[in-house]
Amino acid sequence: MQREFSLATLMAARQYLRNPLFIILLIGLPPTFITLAFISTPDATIPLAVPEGAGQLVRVVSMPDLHGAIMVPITVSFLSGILGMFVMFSARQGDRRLVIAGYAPLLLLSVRLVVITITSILITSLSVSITLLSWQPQQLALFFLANLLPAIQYGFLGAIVGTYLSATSGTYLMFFLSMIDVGLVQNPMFPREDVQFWVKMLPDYAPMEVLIDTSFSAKFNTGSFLLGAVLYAAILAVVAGALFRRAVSLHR
Amino acid sequence: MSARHSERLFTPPGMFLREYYRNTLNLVLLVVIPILLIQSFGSALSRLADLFSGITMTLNMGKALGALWSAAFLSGIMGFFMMSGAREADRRLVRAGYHPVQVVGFRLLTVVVLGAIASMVSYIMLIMQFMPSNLALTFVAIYLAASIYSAVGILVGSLIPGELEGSFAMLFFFVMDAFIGSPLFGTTSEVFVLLPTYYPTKILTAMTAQRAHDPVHWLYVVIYAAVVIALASYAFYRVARLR
Repeated sequence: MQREFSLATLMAARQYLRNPLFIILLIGLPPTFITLAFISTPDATIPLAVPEGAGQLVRVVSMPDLHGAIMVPITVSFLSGILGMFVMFSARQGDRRLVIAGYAPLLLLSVRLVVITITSILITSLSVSITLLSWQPQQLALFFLANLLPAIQYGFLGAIVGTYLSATSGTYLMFFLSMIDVGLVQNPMFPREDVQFWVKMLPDYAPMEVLIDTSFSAKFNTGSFLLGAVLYAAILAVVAGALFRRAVSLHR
Repeated sequence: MSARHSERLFTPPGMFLREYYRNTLNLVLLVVIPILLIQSFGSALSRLADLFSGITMTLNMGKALGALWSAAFLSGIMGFFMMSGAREADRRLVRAGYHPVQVVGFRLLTVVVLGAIASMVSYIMLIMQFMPSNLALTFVAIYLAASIYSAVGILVGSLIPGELEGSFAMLFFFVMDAFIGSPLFGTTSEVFVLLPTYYPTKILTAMTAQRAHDPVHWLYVVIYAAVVIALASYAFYRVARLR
């Protein structure tokens, strides 16, 4: 079982690694987006409500720093979401054959989710490293986690979308969902007075609270949000698993 | 024109359009995405603009930009997937006796129609929320942005065969346009004039605010569109000819 898992993971990784253009874009896009966000934003300040204990404290932060920090989850959610979708989309045909050849659907699903998770970690590591060249968050390790979570969430969402939808519909969804959720609705550059219920249901709500906290506060105050984000990712993984199992089993 | 000849001319574009519209979800998203983007951009950008001195971004300007970007991005993705999914079908058309120039023409015609539909949907969603002062020119600005993105999609789809890599390449333009080079974050750098919707957004925000804009910006947009469409046509022709 372990040998099969390693082999399948290696084969899945090789499928992407042998594509030089994919590697170039995956490595080239995060530095481009994040560095340009720091450079191009005007040097102004913005009042930002930062979690402090049980409440919030309004701090004045630099606009380029905030825009640069926000570009990290925007970048990772876009890239992981699209990647997750295509990992599952391209696996649909091949995995059916592997199931017929004797591979367990659960094992194949684990391979896909592992590939998405590893890629999310790589994209997030690269993006956070690039950010550090221009700005230092207050709590680096947790800042990394606050960016990894939307990457994984969107990767798994992409996997769900890729299991059933066509490439065109799936790409529409992944582009515009990330854009609306991470780029607009949760973006702290657009201050919110009352957070509506549907906004809290979107994937990046909890990670964004953690991101603001870990970026601009010296003390960690958003443990419940972190837990919520982890649970959200776990639920998405379970849903992705159930849908994948159904999709593969239906065509046995 | 004989019935057989007209059938030969109209079958491929009809086939290309059906290819897109037989997927119900594509149609649903074509309507839902503009509504969501117009609402989100409108609300978010008007709040952001309060923070920057020198930038006036009203709710309506935000909504207008949402409409422009939804039409542009939808058209870009349509153009890209039409090209990346077209290879096999186009190969068959060339084998069936169509000249590559005809196939390129059919594809361009289809993208023009799809871009017009995406622009019209975004435009209708926009005017349901507020009435721009110049209805015709507002539509033209949105449609030009959609045409530019359609051509960018075709260009990317012709040069990059893989859907994953191509989507990443399209993402580059989207993020640069909407999140980095846009007027929303106070960016003033001249570097971003080369982005596909730089001038269309300038024109549209000025028109929505009923401010004067430099008429030469229209010329820049038309030149940009012509260049990208020419490049896209040439890239696609080369691919089609090689088939």
